[in-house]
Amino acid sequence: MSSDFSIYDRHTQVGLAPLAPGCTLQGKWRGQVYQIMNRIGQGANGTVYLALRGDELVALKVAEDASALSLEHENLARLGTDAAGRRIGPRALEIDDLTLGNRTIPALSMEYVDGMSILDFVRERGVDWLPVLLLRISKLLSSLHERGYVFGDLKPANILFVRASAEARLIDFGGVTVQGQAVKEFTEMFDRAWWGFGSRKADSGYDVCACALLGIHVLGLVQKADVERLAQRAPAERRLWLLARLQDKQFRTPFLEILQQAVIGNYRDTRSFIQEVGKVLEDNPIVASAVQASAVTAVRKPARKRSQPWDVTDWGLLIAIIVFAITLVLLIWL
Amino acid sequence: MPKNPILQQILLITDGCSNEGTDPVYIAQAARDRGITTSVIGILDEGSLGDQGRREAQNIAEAGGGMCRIVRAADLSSTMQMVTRQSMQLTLHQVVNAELRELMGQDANGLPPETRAKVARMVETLGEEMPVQLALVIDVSASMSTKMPSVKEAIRDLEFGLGARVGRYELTVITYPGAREHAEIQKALAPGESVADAIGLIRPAGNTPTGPALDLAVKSILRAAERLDFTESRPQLDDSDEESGSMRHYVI
Ligand SMILES: Nc1ncnc2c1ncn2[C@@H]1O[C@H](COP(=O)(O)OP(=O)(O)OP(=O)(O)O)[C@@H](O)[C@H]1O
Repeated sequence: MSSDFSIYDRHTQVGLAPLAPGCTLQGKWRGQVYQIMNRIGQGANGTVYLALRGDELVALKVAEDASALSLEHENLARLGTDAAGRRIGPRALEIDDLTLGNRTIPALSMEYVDGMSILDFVRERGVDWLPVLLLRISKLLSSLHERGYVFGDLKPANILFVRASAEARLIDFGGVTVQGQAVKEFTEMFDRAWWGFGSRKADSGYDVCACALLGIHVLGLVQKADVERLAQRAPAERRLWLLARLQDKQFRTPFLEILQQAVIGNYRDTRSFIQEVGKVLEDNPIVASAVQASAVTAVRKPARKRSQPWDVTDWGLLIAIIVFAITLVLLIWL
Repeated sequence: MPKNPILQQILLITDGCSNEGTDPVYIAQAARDRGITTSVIGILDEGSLGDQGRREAQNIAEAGGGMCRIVRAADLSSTMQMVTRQSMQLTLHQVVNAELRELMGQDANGLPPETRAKVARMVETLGEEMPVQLALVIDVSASMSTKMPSVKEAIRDLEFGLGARVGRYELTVITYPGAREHAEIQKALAPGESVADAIGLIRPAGNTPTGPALDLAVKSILRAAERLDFTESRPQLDDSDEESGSMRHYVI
């Protein structure tokens, strides 16, 4: 049972054979049965499927490296929710070895996030949303920072925005790093050290820089082709190129100014970055009201039912009862 | 725990197939028997990699107990760091698994996932803290010429990343084909400088002696291991020290 995979399968990017829609797998340790619906994602370290676990739709991440997956599960279970119960990432369900015929497949099941990437979100609803989206991402990052961790590999593929509420979720906790260590995983385009703006040591500034670089990418100011070209240059030259790009009058906005300060590392902590982005929102009434509206519809709805029982009909009814009671009392009295 | 308290790793970077000298798959296998792990990064862009090169890359990594990734030159920095980090852990997992099999008749994959996570956490810490000897074996034959600037930047970047680890490191860079020999060892031009700067001109030759280059890497790792003393205490890592991370590599 120990060598169901050869080293070859596990680490040479040949990958696990894909799981066909409709096939069912059973957990060796937990006994749960999963039915594969379809593939929803593919990364460097694993494949993610939409699956049925009982009658619940879940995301099932299948990876060759069982150890890395078990660490990811641990990270997600511990850090995926903050102290107040707010979601940072998808809810972790369980980790198990699934059996399919004579194959054993390490898998991690978690809540399925019906969401879209930051790029699709902005394409669909407009770039005005960008400050809001970055704000939401940085709040999640801040929660990790408060607990002594850094997310690390922040990039469009590792963030989802819930379709219904536009809430952000961090996906892929495999790159989460303890503050002070070297960042475990990174992507050139969003890496502080690659751009020559600092070290690759995990600190909150690393994530803030990545978040700002993400915004710059979404604005279309840095594309994959730029990174391919700049791969041949030294970090100092990349830095100069990016700063020149951000200075370009044609793109200059107060928001971009904030992103630039964040990339350079001029914010003391994640909170100050959040505050600055928040100010942009105050100055932008359209976005601010859109956010308010979405926050009200998304979050306040259930609360409203409980705290607003006294609408017009309620008051009318109350008055009617009182009047009726007084009349009754008067009638009896007389 | 490992008999050898130093992690010994070879990372081959190529865009083609070997065509001269001993079979690289054999050298990787022999290296593995001596405790040295070999991993491979194949570069894809407009290269001569092809199916044959891809297969050879995978076979070398399989024989060498390491990993294989095929990527574009622009992704070299992150891939070199990822492969280096993961193959160090892979080596440790193999050692730990061998111990576990001896002790309990099954390796970590036979343990319940929670226990497995504990083992993985321990291996991760070891991977951060253990001294490592890394030999980069770089194909500098004609087809690599357009990718060399990216390769050099990625090497500089890797030195930077190795410097951020807790454990010490020793980096050797071997290029092939060499001017007179099959392969040659590159030395940093001055202490504190990156070996990347020492990598000279591309050889327009058509020969690709991957096997002999790997062999040179094995020999230099073993030779250096005798001379290196990683046991002396390391200076405390602070920010200024990190800037000069490359100072801490010992070039033979
Ligand atoms: N819980 C989830 N709900 C919905 N979609 C998900 C979920 N988890 C992952 N995905 C999708 O699958 C993709 C790949 O997942 P993930 O990033 O975890 O894989 P990976 O192999 O670790 O990738 P990477 O290359 O980033 O390391 C994500 O980009 C996302 O689109």
